[in-house]
Amino acid sequence: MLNHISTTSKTSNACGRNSLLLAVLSCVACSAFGAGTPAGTSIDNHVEVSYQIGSDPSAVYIERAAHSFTVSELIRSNVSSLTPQGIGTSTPASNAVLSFQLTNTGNGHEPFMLTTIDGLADQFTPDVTGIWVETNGQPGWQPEDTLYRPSDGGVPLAADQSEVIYVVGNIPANLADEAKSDVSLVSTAATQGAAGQMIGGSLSGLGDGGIEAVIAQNNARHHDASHFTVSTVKLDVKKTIASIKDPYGSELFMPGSEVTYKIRLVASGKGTAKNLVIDDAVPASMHYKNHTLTLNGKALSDSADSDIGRYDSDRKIAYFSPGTIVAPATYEYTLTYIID
Amino acid sequence: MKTVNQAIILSAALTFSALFLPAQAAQSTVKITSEVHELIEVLDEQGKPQQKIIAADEITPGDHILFTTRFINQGDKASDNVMITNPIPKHTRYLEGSAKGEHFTITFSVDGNVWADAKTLKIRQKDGKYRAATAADYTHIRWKYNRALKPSEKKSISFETTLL
Repeated sequence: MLNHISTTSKTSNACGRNSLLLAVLSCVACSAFGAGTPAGTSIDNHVEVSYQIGSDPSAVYIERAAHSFTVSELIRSNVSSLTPQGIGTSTPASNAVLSFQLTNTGNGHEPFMLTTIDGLADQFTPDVTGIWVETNGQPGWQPEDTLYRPSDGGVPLAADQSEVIYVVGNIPANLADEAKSDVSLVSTAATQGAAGQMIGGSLSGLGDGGIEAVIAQNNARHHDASHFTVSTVKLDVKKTIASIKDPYGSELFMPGSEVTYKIRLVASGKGTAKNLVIDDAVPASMHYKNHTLTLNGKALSDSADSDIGRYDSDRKIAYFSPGTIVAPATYEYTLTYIID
Repeated sequence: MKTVNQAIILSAALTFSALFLPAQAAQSTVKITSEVHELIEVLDEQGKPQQKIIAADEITPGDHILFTTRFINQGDKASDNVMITNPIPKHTRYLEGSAKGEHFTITFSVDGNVWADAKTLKIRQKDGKYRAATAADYTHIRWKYNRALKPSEKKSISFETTLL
């Protein structure tokens, strides 16, 4: 599980508090799987033979033949977790969300039924309250998205079309730190009889427009999994301005002023937070002052080496990567930017 | 006058017919048929993969298609310079090395006009330079029979594609 915190520096504001961002949710643009030639397309073959009889070169004969067939519908889907590294959650918690992308990788129009498999044996079982389809245009799940209902006959998708799907659930109370639950989203083609077919099976007349439909996956099904992992560690981040030094020895904001920020990370509770990374992007109208990264007063190098500090001059982002921390613990990082 | 005019008209009609009489006024003697099948891979009793030809009634993207042309000389004279031309069907891609025909010279084209064997065929790029053509560039295949097709002789040629 990745623990990732992003902070931003602003020229005039004194501080910025950022809540823990336990995973990066990226809504992937519809990826082109290449469903191929559309179902129902007629493939036409035309062949011509020319020949002569005797030695007269002007007596050329031509015969032609043709043969056509119709491309059948391939029924196939792909479920892909958008958070393969899992989601951290507290215990208890409500509306914990796992995100997936559902794609019709067949070559015809098909609705897909959705179900979940929640928690393996020896894992906790979340209370999945709903499967949702992203429809309101805002990244991430909101109650304004569309609740999936099996009675609607499945999520209809054209060939190559994708939808983002959210599995939303509540996490039980009193779970141990690092307790885990694997949750799979399962997609099954809704065409009658598809779920009972093995790979290569066919459904006569049940493809688009009454053509043959061919099943590409056993039980016309595909799934992918992500997981909830309980973390009893609470991370709190505060960012403040530690000092300002202008070119004239005062503490005014002006071009050339050096602004030193302090990022205070407090890990409370009990347990371990792993793979922790804090990144701070250089704000507009400022630039990073080299060799100013510190941890608890101790200098860190700007280059990627064995210490936890690094400044990426291409991306203009400073990174503090403490990795694993054991609560309770407090860390103070500082870095300096200069106003352009 | 009427008779003369009729004669002139008749003569003109005959001339007209003669000018535009198709070369194949004599009955064509070579008959051809086109067949399409799907090629699938199955495991034999020893577990080795084998190709099997089945009906082309469930073809979906990615499937292998076998196109076969059969022809027979139904005349009483040999047919010379027998040449078969097959545009590669739209939505399919020729499978390299799959064109077959015993005693045929097989050539390919990327535009239907210039023909060459697979090793020498070139295609012009957008920058005006030429590069070696690949199977994905081919638009046509041509088989030229290296012998005369005798009366009653049957032959077949074939090629394979993938449905895109």
